[in-house]
Amino acid sequence: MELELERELQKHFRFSTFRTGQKEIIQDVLNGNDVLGILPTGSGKSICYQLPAIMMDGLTIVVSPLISLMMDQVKEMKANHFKKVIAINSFMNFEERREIYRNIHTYKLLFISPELLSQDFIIHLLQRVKVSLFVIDEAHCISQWGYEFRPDYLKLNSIIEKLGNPPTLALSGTATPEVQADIMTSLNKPEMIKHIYPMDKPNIAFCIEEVENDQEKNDMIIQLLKKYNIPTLIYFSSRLTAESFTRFLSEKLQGRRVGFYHAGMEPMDRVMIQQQFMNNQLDIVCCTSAFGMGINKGNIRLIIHYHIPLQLESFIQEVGRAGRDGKSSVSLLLFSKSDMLLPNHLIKSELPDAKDLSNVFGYLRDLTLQDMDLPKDDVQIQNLFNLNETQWRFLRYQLEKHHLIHDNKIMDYNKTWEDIYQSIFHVINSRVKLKISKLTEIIKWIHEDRCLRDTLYQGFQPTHSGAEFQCCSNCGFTWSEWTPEQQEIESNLGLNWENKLKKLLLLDI
Amino acid sequence: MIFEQIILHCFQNIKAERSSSSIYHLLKGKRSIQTVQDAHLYSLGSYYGVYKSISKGYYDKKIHELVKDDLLEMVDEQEALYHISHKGLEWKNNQAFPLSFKGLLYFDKADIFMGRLLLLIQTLTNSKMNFYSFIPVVNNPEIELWVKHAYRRVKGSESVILYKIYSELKLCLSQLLEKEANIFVDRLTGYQSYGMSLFQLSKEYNMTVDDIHLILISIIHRILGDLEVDSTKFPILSTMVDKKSSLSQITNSASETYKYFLKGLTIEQIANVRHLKLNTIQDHLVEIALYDHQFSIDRYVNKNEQNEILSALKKANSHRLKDIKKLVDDHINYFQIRLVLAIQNKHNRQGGN
Ligand SMILES: Nc1ncnc2c1ncn2[C@@H]1O[C@H](COP(=O)(O)OP(=O)(O)OP(=O)(O)O)[C@@H](O)[C@H]1O
Ligand SMILES: [Mg+2]
Ligand SMILES: [Zn+2]
Repeated sequence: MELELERELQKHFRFSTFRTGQKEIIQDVLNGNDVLGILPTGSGKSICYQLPAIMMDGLTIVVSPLISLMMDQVKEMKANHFKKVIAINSFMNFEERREIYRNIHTYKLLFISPELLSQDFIIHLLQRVKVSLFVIDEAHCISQWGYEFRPDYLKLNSIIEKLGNPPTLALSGTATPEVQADIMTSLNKPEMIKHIYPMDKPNIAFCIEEVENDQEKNDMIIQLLKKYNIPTLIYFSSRLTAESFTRFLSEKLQGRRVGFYHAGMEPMDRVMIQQQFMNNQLDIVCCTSAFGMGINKGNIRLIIHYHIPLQLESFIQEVGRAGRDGKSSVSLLLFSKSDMLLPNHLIKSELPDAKDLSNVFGYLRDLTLQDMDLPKDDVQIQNLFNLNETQWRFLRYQLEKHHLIHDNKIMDYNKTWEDIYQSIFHVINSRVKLKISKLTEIIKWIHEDRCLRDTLYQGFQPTHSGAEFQCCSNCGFTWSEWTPEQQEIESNLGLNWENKLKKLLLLDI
Repeated sequence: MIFEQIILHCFQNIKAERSSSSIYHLLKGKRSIQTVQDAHLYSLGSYYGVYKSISKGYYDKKIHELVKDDLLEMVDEQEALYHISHKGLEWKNNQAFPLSFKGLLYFDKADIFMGRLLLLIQTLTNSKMNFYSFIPVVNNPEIELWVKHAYRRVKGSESVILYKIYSELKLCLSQLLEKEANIFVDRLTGYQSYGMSLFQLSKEYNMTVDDIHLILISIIHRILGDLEVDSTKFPILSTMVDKKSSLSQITNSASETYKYFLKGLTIEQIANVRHLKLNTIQDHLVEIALYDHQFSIDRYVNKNEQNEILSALKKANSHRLKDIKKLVDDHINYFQIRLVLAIQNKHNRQGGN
């Protein structure tokens, strides 16, 4: 058995040995157990379901939060000559869907978003095949303590049931014991076998610098980047600052290629920026937390946080982009006293407030009284209610949960509306409280005098493996001792458009 | 400054007869009868849908800036009416305007054409290098499907097709300014070479992101124009043009009804001509009443009846049709009540935020 697994790994992925944790998780999965696996970012969680999917009869379903994540994996596997894999997304048209319907028996691995998985026609489709394994990747999304609020993640337990209770594997790179418990409760699987591995990153040094104001942050970053020409990510809490800082950097750093990335950009621009960065066509990306999950670029050396992240989990996730090739990398977090107010405001903007809520209720009431439905399009609804995307997603889930709306139909107005209002209002309050306590936690960490590595990981795991290179700014980190390999740039400069076009179209110049 | 010129031009033409948001809808290419009619009425059809991705917040900010710079003048705050100022007119007339657009004609075709071109080039160059796991720059299933079919037909002769694309593009791009051709080429994606984002182009060419976007749209409109003049010169590029007519997509069922309404037909007559049920036509009219500022319901409910319904509405303290019906004279029907509620609702929405 032991050697057999290694042979399969070699055969399908051309890796000679398993990395820490992979084999243990795979063995339990193959034996039909429910498993919770916590392995650090970039350690190879995908293999934990890819290999079983290939070896088992039937279909493996992987729930994944981002389309780009799914596409990357499908492409990678297909490039590896494993063709029985598919990602279903909500953009597919009727014809493509029919194609999948017809061929569902031929696939071994299927990626899907929780939102799509909640739809009846998908469940009916999946009920026609034998589901041999149900996987939740980035499982911290399930937890209400986790990252972004994705209501459909909370429905997964009923979906697993509808699919005949297949063995379930939940994977995550960042999950406190709190979140781990939450995942198991939410999935209704208290008996899951836990494989928890330390998630610390021995090759990353942690630096925190307090400054007086943004001007000092800017100066400091310019100085650093002048010295180091290395793949760098700079995280911001607002889209606008990310954009304006990009402009600032490209003025100050001649010849360095800078781009920005956030969720408000056109999809095409997003793909371009991400792929330019992957292809080493870009050196520095200024981004929001939208850039992160799924970026599997080996040589990111420096992660700068221009603003304080809202919680330690996000920070760990974002820092986990660095040094995937195992070489020495650095995380730098900058903050000033005035930054402390900003996150509070951000937290509030993620949820509707009392005024929003009563507006929405008033409007819904008007609509029912006229026998009218909600618009079909979510964006239209957001505009109608003057809510942002996150706020409406949250509220839609709450309203659906209380059966006040169903698709775009609204329940008739009656006395229970008041209770529902109160109950949603209560949820909002407690979520704001929760987020503020998360924020307090990270602010406390920022002000630590003890080793930053010890204190960062202490809420997540009992011990960590220590620093491989320099440790942290509280243990005497110095920039002068950090000498990562610098990169070189090739350029298109000086070509006229005709030659550029020829070169692009692979015609000889 | 192209964007500012276009906005000022629009305000100049509508002469404060329409609100500022009507221009927003025009640029965005809103599929409403009103917007398309305005485009014709004020000779602004060329700008229809040239800036689909613009947000209302951003547009309003822009208008605010133009007012602050004295290029636009406010005529009526309540109605959001503006007029181009003297200074604005002077500034605009002193500016060269090198771009041409054909919005009403190409607003839909432009996106489809560019999407197909981008993805086909990316696919062919990667396939030529035997690299099959690239991330597509276009994420639109219809375009992907089209490229998939096109690719299947030419697989194996990538180099030949790439050369043809080169010659055809060269023919089009040679007619542009050097700078425009460069912008267009820099936007393209090939094998392990991803095109520039709008922002990157704006830095490279020292222009605003708005203007880069508009230049690209204008270039595509001009290429589409070239293809239409003589498609035999462009055998490959011509296949990338969507054959559907754009206009058919604007006129949805309700706007079709609206046309007959404008001609003065009764509901029964419209139902007859369109082979639809009376109910359906009434639904259309309620929908129009709900979204169209210009629509007058007086033809179907006279002022006395409107007042009666409104006071019943107050008395009933409810928007429920049945409750209101009980409180009005028997001859008033549900359709009439719905019409009044529709405009009532519209006023509420405008009043409250
Ligand atoms: N046993 C192994 N030997 C060598 N390389 C491996 C092994 N397992 C995985 N890898 C490689 O490690 C890289 C990261 O793997 P993967 O994307 O699965 O990480 P992950 O844990 O899912 O990360 P994230 O938390 O960011 O999603 C991949 O390039 C993969 O090919
Ligand atoms: Mg992963
Ligand atoms: Zn330390």
